[in-house]
Amino acid sequence: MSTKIFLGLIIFCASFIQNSDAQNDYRVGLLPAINVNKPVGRGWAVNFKYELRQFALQGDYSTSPESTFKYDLSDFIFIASKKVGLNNSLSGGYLFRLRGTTVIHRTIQQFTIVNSYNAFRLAHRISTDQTFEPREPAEFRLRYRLTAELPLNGESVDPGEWYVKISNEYLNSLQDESYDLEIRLIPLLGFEFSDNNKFEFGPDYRISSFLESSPRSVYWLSVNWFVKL
Amino acid sequence: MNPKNLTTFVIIFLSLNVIQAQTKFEKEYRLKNSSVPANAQAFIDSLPFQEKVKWYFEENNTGNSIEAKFKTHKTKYSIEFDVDGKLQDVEIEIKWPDVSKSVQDQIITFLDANYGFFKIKKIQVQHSGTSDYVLHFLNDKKTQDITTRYELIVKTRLIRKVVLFEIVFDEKGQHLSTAQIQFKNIDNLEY
Repeated sequence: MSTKIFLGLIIFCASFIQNSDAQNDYRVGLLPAINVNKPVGRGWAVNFKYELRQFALQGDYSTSPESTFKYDLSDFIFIASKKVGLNNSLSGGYLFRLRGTTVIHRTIQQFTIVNSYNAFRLAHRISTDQTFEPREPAEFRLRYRLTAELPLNGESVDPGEWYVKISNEYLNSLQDESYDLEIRLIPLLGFEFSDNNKFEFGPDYRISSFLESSPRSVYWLSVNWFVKL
Repeated sequence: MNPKNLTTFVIIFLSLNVIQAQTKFEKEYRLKNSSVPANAQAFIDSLPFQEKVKWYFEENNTGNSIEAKFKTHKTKYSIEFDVDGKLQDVEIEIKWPDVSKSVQDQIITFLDANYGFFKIKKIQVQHSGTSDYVLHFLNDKKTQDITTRYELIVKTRLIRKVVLFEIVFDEKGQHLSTAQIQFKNIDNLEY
């Protein structure tokens, strides 16, 4: 039943992928990230993530794309996590963003539930964050992400094996009494070098502002490296 | 007895249970039909089920084996063979009410005595014997010369940490072995 609901969400989200001649903006870029996790005992762990954004193309669907190879920003994220229950965790953290000369701060709270089934794992992540940027009103977001990890060999992912990881996320944003919804669809191919060392890559599609008349799409090539010390 | 000393004793006693429990290690990958030993394939072909079978090669604490997994009439079956194709056992996933009352009572008595809090997550009944006797059991439910065991996956709390154990009982509900299940890393699902 969970698989059917998940596939339904994927199809619902895919219906938002823009390919019409409407005046919709889009950008294409690279999104590499490294994620380092370190357990510190008694169910606690600290996590550090560094992610940068590099744009390559931009335009709207009615004209040819414009090449715009440009570095956008870097994110430094620090999260402390406490395991609660079998495979669930409660976390809090802080993001430090550098965009040009602007420094942006974000506080993060999240709760993750991971369930293992016969041939896949499913994770639900609910999070809230508060973003503070100079000369901008604070932005408050409520997010829900559903992620499925499916092994491509056997019933679980083992060292030396490939897997598929599909995420679907909904981000509700409230800023200065203005509401927006962003939907993300991220199908990645992953390889497990060991249980503590994984590499994933694939498209990361994001659409926002579609509740208004001019949706904005971003197509990232996501490249992630997960290391556990 | 001083309550503090009693608490310390209970914590140490429960810790000893953890120390005595093995850690369960398992790794499996799909096997093509052409790589399956002929006698294992022949056993599967002689079963009264015609469902699609998935074959796996499995490595675990006790050695390597070949498993055939399928589902029929909403019941999951897992039939294990050694690497030469000789039958080892048949595991069938069942529900708690399918276990006889006397065996239930024995199992609950053991779990109550060893784990303050517990929840049974999954039960499999395991039948082993010669290929002929197991085949007779699967076809006609004849239990002659069949060894039956119950394998439970139990969630419990140990020293403020939630853990999973695989606990095996014999056909009368007497405890045989305990192995702690290690979880795989979930960082790529959490962050």
